[in-house]
Amino acid sequence: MSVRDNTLVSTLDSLVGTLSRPKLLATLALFLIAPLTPVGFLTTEIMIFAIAVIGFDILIGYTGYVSFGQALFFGGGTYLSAFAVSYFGMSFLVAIIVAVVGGIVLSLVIGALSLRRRGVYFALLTLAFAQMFWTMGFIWPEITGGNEGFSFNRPELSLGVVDVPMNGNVPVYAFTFLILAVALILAIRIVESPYGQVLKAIRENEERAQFLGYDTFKYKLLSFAIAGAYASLAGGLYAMHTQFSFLGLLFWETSGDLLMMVLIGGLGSIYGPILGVFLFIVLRDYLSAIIPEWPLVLGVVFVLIILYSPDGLLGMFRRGRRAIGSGTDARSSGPES
Amino acid sequence: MISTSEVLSQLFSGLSYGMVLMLIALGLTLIFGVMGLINFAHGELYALGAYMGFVTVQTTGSFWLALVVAPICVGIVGIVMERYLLSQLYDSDPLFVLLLTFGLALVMQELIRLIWGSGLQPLSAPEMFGGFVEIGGVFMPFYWLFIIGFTLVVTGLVILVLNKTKYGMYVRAASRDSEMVSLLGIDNTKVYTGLFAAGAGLAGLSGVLIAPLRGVRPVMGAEIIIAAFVVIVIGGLGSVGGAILGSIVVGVLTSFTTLWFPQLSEVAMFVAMVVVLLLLPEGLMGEKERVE
Repeated sequence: MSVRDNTLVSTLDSLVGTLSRPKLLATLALFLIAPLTPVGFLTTEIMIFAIAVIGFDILIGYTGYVSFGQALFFGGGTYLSAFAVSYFGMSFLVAIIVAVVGGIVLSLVIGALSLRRRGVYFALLTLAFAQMFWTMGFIWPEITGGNEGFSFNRPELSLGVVDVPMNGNVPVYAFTFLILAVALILAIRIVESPYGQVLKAIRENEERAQFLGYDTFKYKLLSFAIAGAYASLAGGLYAMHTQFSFLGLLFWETSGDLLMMVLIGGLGSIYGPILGVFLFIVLRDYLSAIIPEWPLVLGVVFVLIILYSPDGLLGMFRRGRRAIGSGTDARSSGPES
Repeated sequence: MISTSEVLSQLFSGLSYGMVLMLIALGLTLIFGVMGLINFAHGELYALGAYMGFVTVQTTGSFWLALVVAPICVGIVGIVMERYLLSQLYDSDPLFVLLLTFGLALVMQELIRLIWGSGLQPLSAPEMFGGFVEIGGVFMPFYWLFIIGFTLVVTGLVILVLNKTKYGMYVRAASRDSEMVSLLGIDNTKVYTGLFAAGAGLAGLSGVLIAPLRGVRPVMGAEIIIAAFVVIVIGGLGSVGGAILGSIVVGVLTSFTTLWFPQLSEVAMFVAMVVVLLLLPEGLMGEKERVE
């Protein structure tokens, strides 16, 4: 992907450039049409998880650090906004902001500890930290609700002057759509910025990036915090959408789901993980009713993807298109395999 | 008040759990040391061992036979896993092997559920282990002592094989520099497959050992694997001594927090891990250059 020279092109101009991408517009259009299709308001859930995996992809796909503890930030965001509403009576928007700020602080702490290691060691550390918080949730079951969780009523969206009621599916869908659009544009800007280029350099060869004078730890920590911010934002939205929070969201299975969404779709491409989320949630909702062995099917599909197409379905499509020969697509082939 | 007898019985309970963890962690850490990969499905191999033991006891009634049959069966599963699946990804990033084993763990757990159902199945130890032994005025279940003794013997054998046999020498050499080992004309793939089979067998054995204490259920693998990860992080990834020390620390710590602060029993090992990581980033017995 082309690197825009931000020093010459004005920010506004490049923003318009980002906005007029056909892929971006098509993705957003898809989410606008989806509620009218049989997918219905499952679209809201898809968009929420899409936000989480977009940020996750910046960490996994672009920086090359696979975390097994993303549940901590997703579930943490859910709990923070649920607490904000039910114990402090905060409004919709404020509760989401609380979730994001809390998620960033938490990810800076956990990131600083886990990023002392790389590769599989890093993966184990993130998993262990997330599990630690999950077990801590059981120390105070009267607050967290334990496995059964607790429910609350969705508050109004206070915008200072006006209070927008958030009853029903449509307002939550509309709000989530706006957030997704901003999150997606921001993510594209991040990965194409000079900062994003350094992340890719870390992925390809971290030592080399260090020798070039980059303090890679700071870059990695920021990447970890971006992923944490996106996950806790999604978690906060999820709490508002379901009006419910339970400890299962902090369990490693949530991390596993997010990882599978990213990898099935195709890591290191922002759009791949969105495709992954879409298929994951739609197929789960429709197939799990017909096929009781759904988790087994999912596991087998995931294993096959890892073995034969490590860059996911999107990578498969790209290779297929190139093989057919319409390939003027000179794009570099995404992630390391 | 907490009496000495309570402390003593909690110590032995913790030790017996820690020793079972040790067998799992040993395989994990040896495989990491040599092959640089972490096997997420290691917990499922342990669960599979427990189910194999369950089936053996059901059909033959012999717990001793289960202690032999289960590790062999699980070892064979380990060979198949390594040879036909994991080896396909040795040229790519080790992270993809980790992700693959994560997927395999899911598949194996679901297969176990499909074959044996979701419920808890009891497996009773033979009658000769049913009794109690008096130690320091406290009556300990004889089975705890059996576990501790048996795992000590097995661990001793593992260390003996590592240090005194040719194969053990290959393994130790490969954990230092596997490229050099293959340059010397030793077939690395055989070292890998053998090591993986042994690790799987140890996990299967620990599954049989724990079954009489906790029963057999599909989620048991997912439950133990996190504890085993914490053990090897505390001990230092790749270190055999670290795995032994780490599992005793985690076993005893979990046991005593259950006694004194029951609500913290699950959290304690994670707190220990954070403390170790802050003070000794390489783990209790890890080596700096081996960590990557």
